[in-house]
Amino acid sequence: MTKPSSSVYLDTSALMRMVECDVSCPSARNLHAGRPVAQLCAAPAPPVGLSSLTIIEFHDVLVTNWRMSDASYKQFDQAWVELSQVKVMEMLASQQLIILPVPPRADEHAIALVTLATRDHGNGLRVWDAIHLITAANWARETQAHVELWTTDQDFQKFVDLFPDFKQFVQIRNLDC
Amino acid sequence: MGLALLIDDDQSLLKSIKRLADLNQLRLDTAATWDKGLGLFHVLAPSVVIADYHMPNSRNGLQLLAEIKRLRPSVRVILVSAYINDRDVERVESLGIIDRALRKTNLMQTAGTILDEIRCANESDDDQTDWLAFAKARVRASRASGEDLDRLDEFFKKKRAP
Repeated sequence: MTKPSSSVYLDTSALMRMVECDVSCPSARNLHAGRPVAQLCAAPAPPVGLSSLTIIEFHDVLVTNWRMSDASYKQFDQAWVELSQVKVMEMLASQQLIILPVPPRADEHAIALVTLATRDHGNGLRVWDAIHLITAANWARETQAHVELWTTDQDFQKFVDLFPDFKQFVQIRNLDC
Repeated sequence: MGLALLIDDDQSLLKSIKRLADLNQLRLDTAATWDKGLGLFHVLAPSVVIADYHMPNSRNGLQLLAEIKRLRPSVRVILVSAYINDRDVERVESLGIIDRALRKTNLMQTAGTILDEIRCANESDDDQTDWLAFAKARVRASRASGEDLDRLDEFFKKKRAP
């Protein structure tokens, strides 16, 4: 595992890849992306940051996987959902994971960013992803340290390439790469 | 707690105000160019943006603040210039986009007024968006005449240049 050189913020996709490894036959993609997250969270390193939005979206995706009728989702059953919920709650309780405050008025800030990104560049960053990015950038500013945002969503990198001032604060790590 | 952004190529003014803000534990970011200021605006989401009208090699502050207001109508935007008079202040504020136009007088007086705006932004910001105020500001910004703004901008460039 590559040791991160800065604080790490997890978006929902990163947290999901971690728990999607906790089945009898995890996919190669989930193993590739999820193992570094599990290792990071288990390491005696500085706490890993996420936001209340990560937790809310995480639970939404957990139950979405559970509801899927496709055979490839059969492993994502009630037991897996409960195991995943408890696993993340234990990490929060032990403060391996910490919940960062979403900055004031992040909602309207996110609206402005996705409007601008679409208007000027046709970029596909969604408003909830913008809130993850805003929260990570705010953490970096407050701590005066770089933050790595771990994700499997390639739109983050495309977005910060279009708005490079974000790179002063946040580096994107695409776990699928 | 809200954040303030000051955009001005006058380094002595930027440094003075930044020092005063730090002494008063106020959150302030600064930029010396239009592009840098807009970049920080996109990342940090300040509650108030204060921009100088004349900046070399930049678009004018009026255009900068209008763009900011259209993107985030709840942000308070303030234009600062050493070359405008009281009548200009009225004309700028009547556009419905710029919340306040401020004449740069002497350094201490200007710094004091700007610091008051920064303090106000730091103290008054709520964690939650006031959606009613946001909606009203958005409608106001969309109704503001772009032609009036362009006309005033042209007037300033011709008659109020350094």
